[in-house]
Amino acid sequence: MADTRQIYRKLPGRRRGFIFSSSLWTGADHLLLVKSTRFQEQYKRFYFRDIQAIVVTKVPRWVISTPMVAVALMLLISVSIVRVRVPALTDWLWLLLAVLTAGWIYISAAQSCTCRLYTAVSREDLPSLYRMWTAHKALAELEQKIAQVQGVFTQDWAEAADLRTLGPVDAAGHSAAAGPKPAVARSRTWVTDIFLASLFADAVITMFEMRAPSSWLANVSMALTVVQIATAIWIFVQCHRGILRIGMQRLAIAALLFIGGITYAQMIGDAVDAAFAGKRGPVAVRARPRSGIVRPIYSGGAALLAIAGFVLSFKPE
Amino acid sequence: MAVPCNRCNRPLPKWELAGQHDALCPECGARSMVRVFPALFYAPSGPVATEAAAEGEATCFDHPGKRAVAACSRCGRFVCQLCSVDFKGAVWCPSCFTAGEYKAKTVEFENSRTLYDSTALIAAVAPLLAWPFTVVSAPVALFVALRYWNRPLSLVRRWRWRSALAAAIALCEIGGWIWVTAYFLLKARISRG
Repeated sequence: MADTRQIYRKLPGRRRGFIFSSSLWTGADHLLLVKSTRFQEQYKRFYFRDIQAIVVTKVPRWVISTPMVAVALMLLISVSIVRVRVPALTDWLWLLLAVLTAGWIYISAAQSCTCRLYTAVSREDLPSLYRMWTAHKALAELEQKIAQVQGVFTQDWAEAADLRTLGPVDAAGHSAAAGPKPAVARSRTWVTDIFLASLFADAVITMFEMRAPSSWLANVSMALTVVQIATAIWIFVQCHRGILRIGMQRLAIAALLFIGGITYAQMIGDAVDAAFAGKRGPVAVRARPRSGIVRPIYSGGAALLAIAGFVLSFKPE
Repeated sequence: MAVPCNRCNRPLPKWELAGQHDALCPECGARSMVRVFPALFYAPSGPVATEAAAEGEATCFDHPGKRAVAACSRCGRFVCQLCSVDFKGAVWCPSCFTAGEYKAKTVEFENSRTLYDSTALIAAVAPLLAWPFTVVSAPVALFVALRYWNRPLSLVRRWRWRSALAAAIALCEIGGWIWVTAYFLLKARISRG
């Protein structure tokens, strides 16, 4: 197949995932959105004459890119080598890793965005523009190109635009881009906040229990488990009503399965222990994990679930 | 007009947009940078009107009752206003346009491409994690790299280094297997006799 190539120029910003990646390119008269798996690329063209609006909204984005993972891996490998060869440098490398992690958290939470482009017939997210500075740069270039084709506003458009419809229009004549859509599911509610806080607190308390077992801590942990179950059920209700996104419901299911699984594992473990000890008759059922092996698993699992929930909570809606 | 907030999808208020740079969503508190372009004010194009053909007038190939307005630049069929496709300065009929021959001359309508160079590179590198698989994957990677060498690359990439690297790695792997096989064969022969 002959290949009469367009000359494309890359716009700032690139999303590099483990499998998927995305980038933006400008051609002579259009913007090219490239979405790529490792084996195939898909293209969408937006002609400069058709672009109605671009909206960039500041939201937290917890994106883990392949270059970032490569840097983290290199640092970890360096730490493991340096620990043996030059032990004095180990702390510095850990410090560097901590600083980089803190930087990533700050950028993800405070300097990230989501970018959306509108034409008369489409509304498209631009995944490659997820940091504010790249969005600014790309938008500046795009504005220039679009202005060359469409011209610029000579008066205040906000007043005049009141009667126009942005983006695709549905069959009823309403803009599909915006409008009264209260059914938009949210990433977090006060119920999910309580759910995650109880998971995290349970993880911490179980960790303390490992070092200094006490009935008081066990009772608090038990109460937190009850809170987790109650809030998990309330999360199902909120998902059913369309208030919450499906991700949090999955997390609630995972948490319930985890709590149930640990409880049954504890019971089976107790029964096996009793059998080995030669005891006959019924074994006392213990609601809280007391075994030395189960406690760290419970604590670590609850902490992991809490972290996963934290990430889900701050996913852009 | 409703310019929506990307976060909560609620319309941003007019007074926030009047600043023309940043708008604060009153619902979710997210700050948006809004750029609106004159295309928003273009009048939407209405349905294409086709005229009925009068007695003795040329008619559309696909719509015998409609008056022809042009002939397809490729097959010569008459087309009505509805059927005429204006593309690259010429008029096309729908059949020729969808037949795909124009694809040989332009990339403007391509919406996907298979990345043979990346496929070859992955086939060469990924099995190194479980190296015995390279006995199969290396020839496959070499075949893909060479067989599709002349296929068009990505629309936006320029270089064939992935194919070259895949071929080089695959050759090294094949060389390694040949060397290992020869080594053990020779060793077995020496120990036998």
